[in-house]
Amino acid sequence: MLATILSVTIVGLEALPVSVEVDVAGGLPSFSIVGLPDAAVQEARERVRAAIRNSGFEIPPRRIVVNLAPGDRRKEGSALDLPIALAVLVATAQLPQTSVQGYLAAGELALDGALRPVPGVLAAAGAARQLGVRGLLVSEANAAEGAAAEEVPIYGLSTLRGVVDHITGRRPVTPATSPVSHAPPEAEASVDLADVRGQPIARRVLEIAAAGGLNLLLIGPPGTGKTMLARRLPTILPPLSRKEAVEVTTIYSVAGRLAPRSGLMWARPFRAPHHTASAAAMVGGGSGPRPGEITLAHAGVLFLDELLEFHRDVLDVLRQPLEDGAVVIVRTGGAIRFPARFTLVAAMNPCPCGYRGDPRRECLCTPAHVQRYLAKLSGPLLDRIDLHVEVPRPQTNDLLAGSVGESSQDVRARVSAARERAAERVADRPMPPGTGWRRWGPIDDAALSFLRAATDRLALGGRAAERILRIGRAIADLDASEPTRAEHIAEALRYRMLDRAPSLSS
Amino acid sequence: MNFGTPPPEGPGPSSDDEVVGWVGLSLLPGVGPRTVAVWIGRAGSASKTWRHLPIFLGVKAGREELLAAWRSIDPEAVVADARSKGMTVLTLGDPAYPRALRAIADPPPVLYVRGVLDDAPVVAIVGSRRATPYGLAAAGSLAADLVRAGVTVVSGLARGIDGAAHQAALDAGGRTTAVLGCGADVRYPPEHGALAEAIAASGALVTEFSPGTPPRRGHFPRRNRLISGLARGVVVVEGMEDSGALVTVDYALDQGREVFAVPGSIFSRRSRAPHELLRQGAHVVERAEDVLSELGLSATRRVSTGRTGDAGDDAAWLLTLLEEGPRSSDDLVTTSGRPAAEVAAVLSMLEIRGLIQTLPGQMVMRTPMNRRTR
Repeated sequence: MLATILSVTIVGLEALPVSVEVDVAGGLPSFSIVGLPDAAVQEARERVRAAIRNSGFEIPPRRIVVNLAPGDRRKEGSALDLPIALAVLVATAQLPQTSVQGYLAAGELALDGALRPVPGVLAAAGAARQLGVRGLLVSEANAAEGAAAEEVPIYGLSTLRGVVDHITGRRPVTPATSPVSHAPPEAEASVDLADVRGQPIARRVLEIAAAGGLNLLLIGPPGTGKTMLARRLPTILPPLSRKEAVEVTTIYSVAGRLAPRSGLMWARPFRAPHHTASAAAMVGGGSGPRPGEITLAHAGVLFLDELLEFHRDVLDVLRQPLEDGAVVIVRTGGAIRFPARFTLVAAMNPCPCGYRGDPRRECLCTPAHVQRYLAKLSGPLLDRIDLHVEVPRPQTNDLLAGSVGESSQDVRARVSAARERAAERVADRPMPPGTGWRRWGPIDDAALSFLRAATDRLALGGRAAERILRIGRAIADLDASEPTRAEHIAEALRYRMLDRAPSLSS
Repeated sequence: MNFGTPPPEGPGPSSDDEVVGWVGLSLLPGVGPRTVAVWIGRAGSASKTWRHLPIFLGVKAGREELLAAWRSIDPEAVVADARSKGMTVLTLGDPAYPRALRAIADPPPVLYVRGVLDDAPVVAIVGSRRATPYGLAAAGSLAADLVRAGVTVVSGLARGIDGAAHQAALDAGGRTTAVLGCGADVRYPPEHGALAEAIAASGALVTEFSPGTPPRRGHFPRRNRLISGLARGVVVVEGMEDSGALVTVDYALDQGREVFAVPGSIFSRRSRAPHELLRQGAHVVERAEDVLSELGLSATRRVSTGRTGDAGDDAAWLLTLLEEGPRSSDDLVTTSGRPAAEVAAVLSMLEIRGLIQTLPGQMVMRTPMNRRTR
């Protein structure tokens, strides 16, 4: 007898529909799975057999063949356990075919028949509507996640027996509801910009980076709060849109990093991979590619502490994603595109010993040492970093008695307003590519002549001038100014410390 | 003051024979300036001494080696080589030989000079090769103000303080003398090649080492005795406990020169040498006038101090805050109570106009008046 049920396998961030077909026929007793299953799917045989038996059903000693269609795409993971088990029950006449009709099932089975959560349920729920499905059968630990898609009814169940009772109508459950409303929860972040005492310049730069979506390099001695500052950047970025929240949640779901029973992620991600991370860990990889750190940082912040300790090839693979906002991983099975639109925050010491410019500790590096150290920075990655500023050690009295700075919420309001102005401006007059100075928006003559004087005086290159214009534009947007003015360009100039590196080593 | 055995001073520029004699004697290994002076005193001239050297050697130990050296040395070739490279060969017998140097206990018999030594009063500025931004700024500002007062600044062309002092003196349009620990045609330290050329063009490169002599460890203490010997006073800007600047100070004290020290940060090891000198009674230097008045020199041109005037606009408040020395940008925001955006913008404007400089660690410093380029 033949049985069919719908399921999915995750390819990249997408759920690929899989039709699970089971045929039970006479012959020597056997249980085989065909249709390019990977090792985890092969092992479903053992889990399904035990789960069926321990749920009070039986596996007749016959020849059981499971086919996963389409047969030419690789199937991965343990999510196919549940559909295989259900199809086996139908094929062995322990369940009517009509009971599974129109359902999409995804879940891993324990040997005792318990239903376990699997990655990618949000993506599966997203795909379910197009497949004309009437409901999704998943582990109750995945129900909130699936419901967040608000596409089709999601039924969360905890055992195989429970699934059978639900679909046969013996003990139906109600669809799960999205645990979180559309609005992001306010003030649930555990860190706040108000934690940062003193350091007004660094705070200002953080605000500009947030407003302009600019990449940032913090340079300072150990222990001056570079990591603390970076961690607070996500808290002043505008709240995620629902679309972004779904994207981020899908990424974390597919990566298997979503906490059980959680719905949409509303907080912007903050990822801080260690400097020993490999290129594959950074951009994603594996035979069925998994998202890497840059994708996990999508819509949030990627923080690279000790930037120069990262392997050269790891930094090199960041270049293309920084430009495109996505990374494409090519495998024999095809190319997979992961979104990776993140803000890069990097941190490094000012010199090999770390204490250059520190008023309280003496730097023992020779100018040649410092030069060699900074030279490691040069190149294409540095070209993609907009802001570079020094973070000196805060004054002790700032730490003790210093005024408590503004909270993330206040700063975020300004950042959001600036971003809206920028969006309106671009909508009014889409940016014509490569039209020189005015490419980043209106700019007045005083600003242009100031920029010319500055590039002249500080011997800045064209690329540096370009970055200064971008920064100036973000500052002007924060200032609610229609054109970029001279004071905006002047301020921007202060946040390009490495442009004046020669004078630093004087 | 003991002038030692006064070497004979010829009536005019010494003849080439004499120069060749002096050069030959100066190249003898293990024969110091004092021995040379004694021999010449007996022979009456350097050329005679050189020609009849075996007579003077007597039966002292090492006679054979000295004779071998005497035979192999070709002082005429050395002189020709030096002159072909644009050097002047100054001997103790030459009236153009610097007076102050002639007065020390062991003046070098021969000086190779690129450029011109004048008879302006000389002050030495010496210090650490690995100086802090503060030290470089202090050396530069003092050097500039000293040359403006008509003083020639002498130093050792080393990295750090030395280089900053030379450069500032040149930038201020003044005269500076660099004393080398190698031949005047050897580029050392290599990164100061251009600086050395500039000094040769408007001041002087001086060395007691013949052309082509490479820099050696042992040369530098000897060079230091010339730095202090040429100068009336020695200013130490920065240095650690074992700094070469202290060697210069020892010579300066032997030679009866004044010693000055510029105080530094108590957090820096590079303040150890100047602070130790201060403890021992060196003169404190806060500005060039401290040196000038101690040496009985007067500033020929008044060095301006209160200089907010040329900011002229709403940036003056910031320059005022920087009057007491460098400050971090954060500090400027906190102290002024103005928004970070405004402070950053004003700093930029001032920097473009050359009124301030940015140092490592987000520190901002006012550009000394004389270093401004526009």
